[in-house]
Amino acid sequence: MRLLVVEDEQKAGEYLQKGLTESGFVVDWANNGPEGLHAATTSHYDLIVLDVMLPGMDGWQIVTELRKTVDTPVLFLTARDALNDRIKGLELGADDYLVKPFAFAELLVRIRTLLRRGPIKEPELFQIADLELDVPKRRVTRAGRRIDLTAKEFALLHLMSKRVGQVLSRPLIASQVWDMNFDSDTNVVDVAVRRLRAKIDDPYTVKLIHTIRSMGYVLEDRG
Amino acid sequence: MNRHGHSLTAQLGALFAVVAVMVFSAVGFYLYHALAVQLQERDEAELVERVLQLRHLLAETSDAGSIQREPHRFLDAVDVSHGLYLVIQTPGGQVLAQNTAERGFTLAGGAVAADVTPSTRHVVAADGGALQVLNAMGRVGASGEVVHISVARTAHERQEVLRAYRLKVWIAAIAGAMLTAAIGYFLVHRGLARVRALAAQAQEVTARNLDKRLNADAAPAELRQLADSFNRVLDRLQNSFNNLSQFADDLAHDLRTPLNNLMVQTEVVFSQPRDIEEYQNLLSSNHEEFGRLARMVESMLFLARADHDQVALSTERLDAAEELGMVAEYFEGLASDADISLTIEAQGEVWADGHLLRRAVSNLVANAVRYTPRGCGIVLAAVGSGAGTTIFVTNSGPGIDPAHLPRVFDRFYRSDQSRSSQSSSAGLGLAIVKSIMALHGGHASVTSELNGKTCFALFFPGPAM
Repeated sequence: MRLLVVEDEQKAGEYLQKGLTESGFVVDWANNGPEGLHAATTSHYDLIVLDVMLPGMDGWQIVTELRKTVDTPVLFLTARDALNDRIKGLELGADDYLVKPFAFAELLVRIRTLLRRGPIKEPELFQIADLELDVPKRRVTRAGRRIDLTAKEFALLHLMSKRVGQVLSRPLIASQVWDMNFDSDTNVVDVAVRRLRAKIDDPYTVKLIHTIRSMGYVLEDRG
Repeated sequence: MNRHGHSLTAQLGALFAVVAVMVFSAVGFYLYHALAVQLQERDEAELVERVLQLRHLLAETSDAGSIQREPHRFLDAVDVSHGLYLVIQTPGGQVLAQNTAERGFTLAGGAVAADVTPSTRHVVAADGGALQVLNAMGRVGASGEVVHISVARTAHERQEVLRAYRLKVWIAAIAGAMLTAAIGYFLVHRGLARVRALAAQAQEVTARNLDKRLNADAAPAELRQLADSFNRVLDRLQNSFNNLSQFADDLAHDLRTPLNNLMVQTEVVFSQPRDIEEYQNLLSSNHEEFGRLARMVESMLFLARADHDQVALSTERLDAAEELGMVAEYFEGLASDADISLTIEAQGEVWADGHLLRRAVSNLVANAVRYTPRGCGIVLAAVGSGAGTTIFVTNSGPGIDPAHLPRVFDRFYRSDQSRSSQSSSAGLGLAIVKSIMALHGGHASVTSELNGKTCFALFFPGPAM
């Protein structure tokens, strides 16, 4: 998957390129508006990560120009999050909008969501190592043994199963599981993950839920 | 001084002057005309008097010839030095007596019969002067001959009097107008002294002494309302100003703490080579501080926008129990870890923006979980009334000192200073609750008893009728 990052700030450009490359993408980086537009219109990219404030040509102008010829998904990055700015970005044809400061894990999730073009059918059954999740029956077993989960524990495990191998940030988990769309300084998510771990990991030698320091949690079989 | 609108005092002074000129002119004009009419009537009466006197003399005269022989008898009756002229002539035009050969005037119209009251007419004399002439018939006593008498008077004297009078009227009008304008200016100036005093008071108010107020009681009744309004503006300004400077102070302080942690701990780690795990610990710890800073910035942005009503509110009818249930589920794990029970006693509906409602209640519950002792409980309740719905978050605990109670919703206000480093954004949590309630047109309040129940109440008004 090829991504184009248009970002004028040196540090931001470097870490985006590094982080995204390490996450398995091929990343080109343009550090001003006209160069970004040129790259976006002359080469094929699967997705463009676009800063709004750019020298020469701002992100809104780029997306306006771009939409005349190509419909590559565009993810806006910006420090401006006034409602009008968001509406403007989306109206001009941006596909998503992420406000700085953001969690890198959050950026990865958004990029992957945009790349997964169109609605996909969500699987009803998940299997990670010996952990099995039956969504319609709301049933969880590990090594064949039934595990009782509360509704929110199930929702949390379901979310992590859908995103196996992806790091999920705490705000993302709070938003998806409890519909709490603000960053609170409570450790509610940590407590919930610990409780889930106590049920599905603690009794077993192979651990499936891993803590990624500073970033969040990931469900994956590292065995 | 380049201002729109001239001085009120000068305007009123000029207005007084104009009014005075108009009034004095009108009065002068009237008096002048009255005098002119009176003088004319006096002159006419005098001419009539002379004619009657001449008729009397004629009655005692033997014949027309004796008039001619002794004209002085008649001419003395009219006093030439007073500008009176006399011509007596026969109906045929033969002059019997006259004192005015050099002036000469025509007999305008026919003579008036002796038994008719004579009336005057104006004619212009040969030398161009205006004359008031009275023609009448007379009868010589003994012979019964008819003669024509013409008595005339120059208008000169009267016009002199009138001219002098006119000048006096003008001088009086102008002087009076000037005097009135000056007095008016002076009085208005004095009357406006209190306005200037108010302005001077207002001028003394600066950012440094926003506590100064206008003395509204000393202001004229018409300006008292203005002074009161001005004072209320100052009240609000002072309030905002104090909040703002306090906010800036607190903000600087609250940013310094995490920034200091970041700088110092990074410097310490870099001061000598360390193993990878220590670097990882540093980065992780730095990330925590960054998170605090990011949350603080987000909270402050939210508060700033809420202050300017820039937060889009999508108000809808919500089930109170359901919303509180979501918040309770969110804190379920945290509370049960702390051995705190979460109970919901709610029914009915609440008219609010779901996200903001949950945010407000979450902030309250997060605080409650922090302060509730093990084994105690937190109750989330909703009570509907005619005006709206009130959500209560009640917990047992140490309670809030009554001294702190009025300020708990202030930004960065912490009743417990020692906790400041522990819960970074707690200083803004309740301020955000207050802002969210203000956005809804409702309000937040708190009651607390030491070592008893602490109850936060959020009133959401019902849908506008």
